[in-house]
Amino acid sequence: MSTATISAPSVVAPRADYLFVSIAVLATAILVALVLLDGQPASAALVLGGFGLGVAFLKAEFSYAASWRRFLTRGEAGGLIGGLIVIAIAALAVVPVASLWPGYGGAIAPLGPSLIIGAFVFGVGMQLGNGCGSGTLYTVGGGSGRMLITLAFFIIGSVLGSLSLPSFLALGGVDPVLAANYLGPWGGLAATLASLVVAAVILAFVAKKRGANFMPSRNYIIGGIVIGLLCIGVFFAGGHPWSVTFGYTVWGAKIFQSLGFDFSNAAFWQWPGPKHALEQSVLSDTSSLTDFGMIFGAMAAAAATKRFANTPWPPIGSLLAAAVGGILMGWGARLGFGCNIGAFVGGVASGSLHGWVWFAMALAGSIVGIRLRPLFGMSRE
Amino acid sequence: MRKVYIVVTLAAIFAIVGNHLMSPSTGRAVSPEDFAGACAPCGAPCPSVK
Amino acid sequence: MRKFFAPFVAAGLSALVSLGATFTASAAEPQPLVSVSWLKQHLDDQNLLILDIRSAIDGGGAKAYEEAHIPRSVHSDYDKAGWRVTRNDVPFMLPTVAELEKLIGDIGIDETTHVVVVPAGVSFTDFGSAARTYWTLKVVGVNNVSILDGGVAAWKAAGLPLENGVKKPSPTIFAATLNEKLLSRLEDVTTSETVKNATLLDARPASFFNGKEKAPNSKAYGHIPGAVNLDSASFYDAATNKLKPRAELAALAAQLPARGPVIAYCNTGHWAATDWFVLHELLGRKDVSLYDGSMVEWTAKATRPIASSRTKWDDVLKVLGLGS
Repeated sequence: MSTATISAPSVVAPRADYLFVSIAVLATAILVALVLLDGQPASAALVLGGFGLGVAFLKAEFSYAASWRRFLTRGEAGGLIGGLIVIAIAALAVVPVASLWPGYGGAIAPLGPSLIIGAFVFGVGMQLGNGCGSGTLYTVGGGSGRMLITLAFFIIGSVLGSLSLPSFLALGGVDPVLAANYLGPWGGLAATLASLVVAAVILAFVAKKRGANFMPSRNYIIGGIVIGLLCIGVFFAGGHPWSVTFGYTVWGAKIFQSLGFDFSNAAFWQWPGPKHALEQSVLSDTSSLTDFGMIFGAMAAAAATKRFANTPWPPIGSLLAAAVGGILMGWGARLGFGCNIGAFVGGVASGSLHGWVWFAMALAGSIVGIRLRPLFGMSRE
Repeated sequence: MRKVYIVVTLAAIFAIVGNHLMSPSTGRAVSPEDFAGACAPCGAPCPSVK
Repeated sequence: MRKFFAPFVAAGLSALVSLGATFTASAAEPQPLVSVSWLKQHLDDQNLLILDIRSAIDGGGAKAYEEAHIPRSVHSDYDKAGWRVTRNDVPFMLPTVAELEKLIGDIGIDETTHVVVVPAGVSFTDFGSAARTYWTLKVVGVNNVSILDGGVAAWKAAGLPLENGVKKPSPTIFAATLNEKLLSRLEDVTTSETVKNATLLDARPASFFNGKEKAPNSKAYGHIPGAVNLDSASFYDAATNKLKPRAELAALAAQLPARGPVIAYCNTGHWAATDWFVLHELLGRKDVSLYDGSMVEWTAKATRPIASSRTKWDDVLKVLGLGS
């Protein structure tokens, strides 16, 4: 799936859009310089890792939302299985290191109504917004004006989600289930990889039954490997697996705070992590650093070969879906402890059961989201 | 759409750099020692800890 | 009537005697701050020990003492003689009781000596040296201490004669009594009682308080949360190099809550000694102590909170050499 379509026939030789390449590279350089001045080389690594992820996602057109949609409508499992490659590679580092080295942790979350509802709502929003956590970033960076709207409402939804999360957590739940806790670091890794193989087999089986392809394309294989390796880099630089939506939550809260909103009565914003992120520089948040890097990486990659943002605005129905989808994803990601990257990739790569629960619920939500697409004038596919 | 992108991108860079430069500094290396007991990466407490 | 005559006379006589005693006693009664004219008058008093504490901090030291000093004074370098020691990697802390007994006894001071601490008289920081020495003496039980207002500079400006050479001190045995109430340690500053009732008094210039600059040995910029800022320099008249008049000192001190304990601190307990001296000794405020670890100790651990208005822009300016 691509939202940055080529408007001219491929007879035209690729020409770089120097303005946007320069903006993207300059912006990245400024961010790297600021964090280095602050004595934070790991933060610079996160920005640059994000930049690499932006390039990789854009070049491979690595879309979770679209590949899930293809699977749910046609049974085509290649993209979905390709997405599992990322997780398998990341798990090789995350499961053992998070278990063995102090200072490194996995993405873990409790299992309960919050996770289930959040992941489901995210799945619905994913199909309306035409992107997910990573998808929104690389398509915004790639020049899709529609995704700018998705992102804007994703940010708003994230803040709303932050206000809702404490009460949903209060509904109860089971403490996180981490494979390494029961099977040790290497047993946990084996179990994680096994679960990925099982998932791939099931998806391939379904695809075969529906007469569809299940082999990931070359883009997905190479892209999956590159992205998986970058995930490992981001994990080592940040101390925890790559996460996307916490950044949006912080940006939204900072913006609302500057407009006068007071978060001192919001429980979420008194928890140590969020409180620190809100009070400190946005560049002290690992999630924001990779988010910024990814947007500018995708922008540089997109503008390197063609005129940037050269497409017209889509019809109003599509824009409305972008807004609704964004809000649902933002709210759902907070309740579900992340998006496809933070909760699914991060969770499963950490050997945490919540990752698979998130996947199942988000897939279910996607079914509903796909059904709602025609309401906004969008195709089911 | 290009114009929107230029405006949004420049505004974003301005906001990021501005937020960073106006943020508090104790002049020492920041370390996330205060995230002990956090469950999810966002710092949400675990059900049993609450 | 005759029955009451004798008691009447006795009462009247004792009144006269005590009246006379107060007149003479006011000259010998402990005064925290003495003037140059007072010292000139009492120069040859039996029990007096004049302590010249000039050091590199005021641009002087043993050499300056040797060239010219107040007659009968002995020298102890405030910075080098051991008035402050490094403990647990924190510099400029109060020495142990045993160390102080030796340091003070070797100068010839014991529990009964009247010590007059003489600074150079050149700045508020130099006055802080005297205040910190004064405080140290009081902490270990030397109760009769005074600071010469204006120091050596004032003695010189008054045209009074100076000696050169070195007067060797006559060591004596000094038995210390630790006066814990004057000293606050790290544990005392962090108790919930302190947080609730005490006023933390930051004696540093505003730029340190706000986090725009810091002591080289401090690991972070800013102040202890909740502290009030009263720069020790505001008690000092830089034009005359003496403390300001009592009334002005009282007006400055009125900023503080009228009641409750006060813990004065700065970077290393030097400037804070002046604040302590003014509040506790001159203005007679009870329950004022000095936290000698101060910001250098406080900032040693990243887990202790700091309040500051420093921003990353200040950090950028510092890297560019335009700030500190």
